[in-house]
Amino acid sequence: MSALNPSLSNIKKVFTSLSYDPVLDSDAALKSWITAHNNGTFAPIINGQYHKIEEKKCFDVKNPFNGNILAKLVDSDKHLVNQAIESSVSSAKSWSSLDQTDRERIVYNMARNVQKHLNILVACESVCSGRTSREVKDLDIAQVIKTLYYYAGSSALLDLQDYSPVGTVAIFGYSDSSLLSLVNKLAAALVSGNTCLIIPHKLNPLSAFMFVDIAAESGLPSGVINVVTCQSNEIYNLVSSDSRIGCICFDGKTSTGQELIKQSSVNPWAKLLLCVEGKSSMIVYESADVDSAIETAVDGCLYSNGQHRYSLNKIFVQENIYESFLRKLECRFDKLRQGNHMDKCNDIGCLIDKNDLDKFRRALSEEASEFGAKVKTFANHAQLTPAIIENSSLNSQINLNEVNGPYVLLIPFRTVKESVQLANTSRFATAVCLYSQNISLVMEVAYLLNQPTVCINSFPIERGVQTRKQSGNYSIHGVASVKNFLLSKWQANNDAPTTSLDQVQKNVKLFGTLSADSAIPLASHLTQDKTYKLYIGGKQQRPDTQSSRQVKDFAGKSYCLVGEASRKDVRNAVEAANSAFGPWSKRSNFNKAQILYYFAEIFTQKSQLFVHKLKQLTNKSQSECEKEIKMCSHVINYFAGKCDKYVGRLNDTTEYGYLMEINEPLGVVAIVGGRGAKFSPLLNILQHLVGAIAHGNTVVLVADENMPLPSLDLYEIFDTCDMPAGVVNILTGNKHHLTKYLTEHQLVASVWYLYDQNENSQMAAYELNALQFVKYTSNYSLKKYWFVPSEVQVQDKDQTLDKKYLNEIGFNSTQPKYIHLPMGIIFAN
Amino acid sequence: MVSHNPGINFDEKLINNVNLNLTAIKKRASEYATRRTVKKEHQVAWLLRAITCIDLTTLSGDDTESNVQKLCYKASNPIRADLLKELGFQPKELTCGAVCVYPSRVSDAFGALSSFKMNEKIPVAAVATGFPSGQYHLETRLREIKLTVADGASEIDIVINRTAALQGNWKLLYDELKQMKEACGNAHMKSILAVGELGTLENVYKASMVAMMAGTDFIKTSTGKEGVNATLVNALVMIRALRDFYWITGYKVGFKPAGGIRTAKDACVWLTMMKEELDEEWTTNKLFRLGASALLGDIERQVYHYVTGRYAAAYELP
Repeated sequence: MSALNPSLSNIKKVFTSLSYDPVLDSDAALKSWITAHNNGTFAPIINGQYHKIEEKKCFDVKNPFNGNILAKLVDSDKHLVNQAIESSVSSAKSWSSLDQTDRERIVYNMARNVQKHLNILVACESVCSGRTSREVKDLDIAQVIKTLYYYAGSSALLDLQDYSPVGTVAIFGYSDSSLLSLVNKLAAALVSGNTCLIIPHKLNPLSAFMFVDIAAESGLPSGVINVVTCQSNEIYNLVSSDSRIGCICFDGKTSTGQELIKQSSVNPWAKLLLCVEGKSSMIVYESADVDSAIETAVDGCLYSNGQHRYSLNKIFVQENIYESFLRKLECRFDKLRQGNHMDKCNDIGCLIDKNDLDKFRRALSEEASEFGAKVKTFANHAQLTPAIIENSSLNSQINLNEVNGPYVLLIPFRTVKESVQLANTSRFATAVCLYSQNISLVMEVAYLLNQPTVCINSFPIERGVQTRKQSGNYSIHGVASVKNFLLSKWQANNDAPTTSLDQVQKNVKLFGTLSADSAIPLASHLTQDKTYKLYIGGKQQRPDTQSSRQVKDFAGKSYCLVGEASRKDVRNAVEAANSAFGPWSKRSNFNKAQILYYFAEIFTQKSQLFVHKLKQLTNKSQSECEKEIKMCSHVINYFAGKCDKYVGRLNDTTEYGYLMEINEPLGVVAIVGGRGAKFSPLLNILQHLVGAIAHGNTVVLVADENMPLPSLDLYEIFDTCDMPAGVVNILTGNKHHLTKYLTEHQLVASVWYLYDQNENSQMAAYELNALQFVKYTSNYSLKKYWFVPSEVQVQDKDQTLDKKYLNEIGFNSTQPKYIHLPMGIIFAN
Repeated sequence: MVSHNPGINFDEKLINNVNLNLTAIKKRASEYATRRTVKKEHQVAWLLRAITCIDLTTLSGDDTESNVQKLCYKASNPIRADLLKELGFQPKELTCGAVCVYPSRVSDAFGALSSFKMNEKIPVAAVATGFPSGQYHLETRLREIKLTVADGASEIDIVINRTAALQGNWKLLYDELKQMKEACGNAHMKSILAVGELGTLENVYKASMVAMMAGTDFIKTSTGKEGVNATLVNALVMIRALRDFYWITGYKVGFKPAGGIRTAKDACVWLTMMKEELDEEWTTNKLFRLGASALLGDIERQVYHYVTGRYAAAYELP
């Protein structure tokens, strides 16, 4: 009998040292899969076929750890991209006309087939991304499977009856967690009836190809998913400026995302889902399980080697446990192993982009040399060294979340209040993890944080992505995630405009500049002799310009004068709304309801006044005017009642505990009113206004520029109905001028532009101009916007209010916050 | 051979403000097996190392001289000599950490080991103080220690007073343990916390701390007779207490999980945990013991497979 492996001396050595040895995950199956694809050259997939590789230019995909070439990809030209879009668009009709259950069945098959091909998918995603195969398997692929199963049952989530698919969804691939990022969007887009054009990231494209193979195996008709690859960034412009694309999903750098917004602003109806930069953070309180917090910190810091927007890079630690936290963290970092990401014993792989590695190293040394921070690195022989940074400067690149790599900044704080303030001071918002055993503490902090995801004593990385503020506008959970890919029936079927991007850019520059003739102040005779002012911060105020604009009735007769608001009035109104927001949103919903009911009461008392005014202005019949005013009362009462019935819900989770979804207000909402073709100037504006405040927002309302009455008359009621000052602010003036400054104000959370649909092409262009401006300008800070026709939505049959539309207003008035609340204390007797 | 902890005065600060989160601890505990792994010759070397940490145990009402004698033989010759030779080890070069028996079997064990001339090399450990429940008068519990030491046991696995722990009477627990330590004399004291009966992880941590303050040389998870015994979750809490105590006092106290550890794979995970959470020294039998009876058989089967490339039949490994 002889030993198979005669390395006796090695056994004795290991017996004494108890050392590890590399245990590499096999990539043999992956290699043969790659070879089977045209000997390692991947061509675009168009209409179910790999495109023929003629003399096309190719580029290499490399293993980021050792630089070995894994495969070649075709560098698609304009022509090829066009073909792919063409195929996606033409497949959209048949795919969307399938029964939803048929589409769900295919997604269900995908889930099953991903499970069957788990190992090769893990190898594929890991080899290309530089992330450890363990992490990819445990987190990404596990979540891919859950996501597919989730959307396979999406009809239980949302009734598609009131919606139609956006058409073709372009999905730009993400470099480090490419498959999960892709499937999150793809699955939701497919079940809701869209076709997808995938543009994989040039550094990590293979898992997309493998997934498309699996999709075909699952019975997906050809053309429903097309894939094009391209080496240059030109493809971003090519696809996003194409008006045939209904929705653009992008995951990656902020600057690219901003460029996409601009490019796609030609078509204001094209949706944009962005997940861009940002990093998550963690707050550790003195009541925390510190050792467990350390583990979460390490997991978070190393997640995706510190490249993902959920990678954790800031830890706020209560001062009285700071020293012990630091010591424990250093001790834990000492045990980390970096190297080949296919080695099961490694904690850290490598950055996918070599430039990022240089940037990381440079940032670390600058942090120490120029900003005076204390930087300690670990595993120093390794290529990618994790780092702990103390005394970081607030303005360094690292502190502003612009550096990828495995590092954490430690920041001490004194009180809970200070911790909230520190964590909220960021342009970005992804996730925060709270460590404390004190339930009262964590629930209050979770409530106060302006972050879409809060994890109590745990970390969000297994559960997909939410982004807010300048990190994006994406939500993976629930109804919102499907709605991303749908147009509601209330949004008119708008054709894509034919404006060129140059034209848009030119218009954006000139947009909203006041021309001299925009307001003609002098009128011979006024029907109503009343001094209207602006309504700012609960006070009637004269406009800063000290000038007025004329209101004319339906017949063009001068009716009255209103203020001509300008930039400074916008500023004052936004500031008033912003300072009112905190107290208003924190009031109990019961109390908000009381105020709105009171508002409804007074409004109803004064209804004859409004009916009269409406009749004078619009020439509608007495009964029509009475009906509109009556519906206004209904709307106010409806939203008053909804105040305390829309707090949120509990979502399902596979962990032991709860996933709370809280509907949070957005902040300051700017509503730019229109009058509607059927002249319902009050109801139209009122439903949006009351909807926004009922859900906790404060509002700056721009009354319709041509018919600001009778909405402007509302302020007399706000003055008397206990509405706190600043919750509603009303401006009158030039629509474009005020839209410009509202959109450009950073404290405005969302711009709702109610556009008039008009047969008159000049008027239509006037509104289109504004929509393009708002979309284009939103790129600066990824501001939210909502474009709705300024038409009152009524139910067809009985001409009563469409409650579904009122709920749509509610949906747009809030943003979800997810609080992960795992539980458990019992482990034995 | 094992470490010696002189203990410190009772310090309530060390057991105030204990915060532990079960969910987070469960998550960490589940990761040792997936984040580190050893294969091939590394695996076999690790398994041989695990053997040196085993307290080979029999704790049954029907224990007699004969099965204790067999146990002692196995502890002296844990792997078939021919297999061991293939791995480069001489006979008796590799032995278990100790044998562990009831007090009344100590003299049998000591006698058996002496007859193989292994009594210098393999210590006899005995459970004591009213094992497993500890629900006896302090006087008899202390007396039991003394009698057992007199019979030749050099390691005493005492059970703590769970009543005191559950009632939060930590000072009483400390005082009792102090007296037990004194009764042990030169013998090393291992304190069995019986974690399955302590209710919360906070109590597991506090009991660990109190035992270490009182001068225990090892903390041990359980008797093997409770509903929940050695799990990675409660072990992780105890290991954190070990680390905290070491950082505060400079004394390294040993750790002994016991009950339910049966597979070779388990043994590697336990060693990984000690190595990752503590340091190399804590993976030697000076500071780490595995209380087990069936584990050794599984390790021997793995070694057989490594050496021969075949899976063993039960009758080949006596």
